[in-house]
Amino acid sequence: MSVSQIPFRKRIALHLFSKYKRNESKIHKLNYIFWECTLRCNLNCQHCGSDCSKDAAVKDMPLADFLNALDQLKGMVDPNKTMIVLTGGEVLLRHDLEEVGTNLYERGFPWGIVTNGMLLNQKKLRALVDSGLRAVTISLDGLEKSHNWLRGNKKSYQRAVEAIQLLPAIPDLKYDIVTCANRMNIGELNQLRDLLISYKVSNWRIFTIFPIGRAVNNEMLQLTPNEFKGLFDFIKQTRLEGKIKLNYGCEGFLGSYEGDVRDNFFFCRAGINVASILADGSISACPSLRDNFIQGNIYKDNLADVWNNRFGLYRDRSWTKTGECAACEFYKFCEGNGMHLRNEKTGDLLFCHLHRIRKVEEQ
Amino acid sequence: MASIKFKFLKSTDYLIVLLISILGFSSACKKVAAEYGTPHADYIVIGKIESVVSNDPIPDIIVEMRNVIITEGGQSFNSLTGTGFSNSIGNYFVNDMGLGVIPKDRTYQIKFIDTDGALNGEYETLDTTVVFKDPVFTNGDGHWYKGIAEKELNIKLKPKK
Repeated sequence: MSVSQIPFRKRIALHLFSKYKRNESKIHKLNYIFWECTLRCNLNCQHCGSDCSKDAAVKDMPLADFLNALDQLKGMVDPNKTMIVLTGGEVLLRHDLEEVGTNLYERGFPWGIVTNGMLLNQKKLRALVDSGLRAVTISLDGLEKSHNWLRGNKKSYQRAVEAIQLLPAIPDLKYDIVTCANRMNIGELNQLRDLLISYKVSNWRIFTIFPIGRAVNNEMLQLTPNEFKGLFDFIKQTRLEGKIKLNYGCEGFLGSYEGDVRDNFFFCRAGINVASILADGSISACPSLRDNFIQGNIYKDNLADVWNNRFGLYRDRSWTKTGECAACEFYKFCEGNGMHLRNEKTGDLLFCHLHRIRKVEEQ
Repeated sequence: MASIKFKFLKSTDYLIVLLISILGFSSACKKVAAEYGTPHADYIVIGKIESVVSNDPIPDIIVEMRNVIITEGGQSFNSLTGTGFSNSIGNYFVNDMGLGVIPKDRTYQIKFIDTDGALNGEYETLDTTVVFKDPVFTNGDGHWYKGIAEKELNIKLKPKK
């Protein structure tokens, strides 16, 4: 069946879902905040969308500045229902993470980290858990050779695997593994799945690498149309087997694959439920949205005011109905793909998932 | 005015979530907050739904679970946190799908709605309340965010007049 041929029942559900999305845009409830707490990094990833380096020019934001912004949301958000995710750079390079965590915990916010695992050992993990750490995401981008290639460090696979194996021993901790699918690892996803299952990992997410940052000019990072479609067949099959809960990432309307490769239907919640505080204080939606997508800065603006009175381009996506999207029969379901897949300066579409899958069907 | 508008939008959303679930895509509207997972205890209400007249079990009754929250100012509002159906022998369960909510004491409004018309008989809607006071969590370790708290609530519905 073609990716464009959406079964009747699913099509009805998608129509209902598009109404749900419009309502969510109007309600505009903030419940997920990324904090890019450092730009320093101990790896040199080929696909990195951040402007990270070992000695980032932008210094880490002081904790007090972030907390000051967070406190401006008092009365506007329910802390217990608002997730704070620390991202980077590599978050474990910050030396005050325990203090960060304790302060978030005391305010009632659940918090988590996204890490490459290089610095996560048992002692550090225990200290973070004692500071209220609730969720961890570790990147594992294939078996040893392909992971180390992508991460630019010959020890990175071993460290990541060691870190992953620590997690099941912490009973209260939620965690998942995230994998960037690329041409180096696409052929080993079956082995990687079996490996994760053997480590008792129950949640796994696969992203495809989008063409920004260092990924723009590296053809090994972009799957061919055949590989791209094969990835969704793999995810669908893995979900049917039920040994590990695998989801495709939060980008791209996927036609008939919707509902089969992710728990949820496609919905880019950037700026609708999700905000980010970037390393320089910029207020954005997701950490990968910069330039013209930035809505303010915590050093000049009140975070609550910015959330309530700006973010218009995220809440009304009609401006994305240009170019390839203008004539698309699925625009209502997709609304211009994830915001990170629009050009930060021109707003043009950078990548269409459906278009890439259709290329295989046209062959 | 804005409050009424938001209530309307939220109500519409709940209805859409329900309809999409009926179409077989129960997790389609899953919130982004669960992307990395947050710990939470399960608050479950189970029971049996029967006819007050015949004592026969009633299948396909929609059960809504709403978390009732009292603000510091004494204002009460609720949010839909779980839905379920009674099965062919009238048994149901609903689970609070909300994430990481403190405190552990909770009050839920449980609503039983007959939506399938004459099929299985026609019954009046019933609204009731379940209170979890100092709940005991099984499979937990004493934390507010771990384990399962369960209450049994058997109800009898009156036929529509």
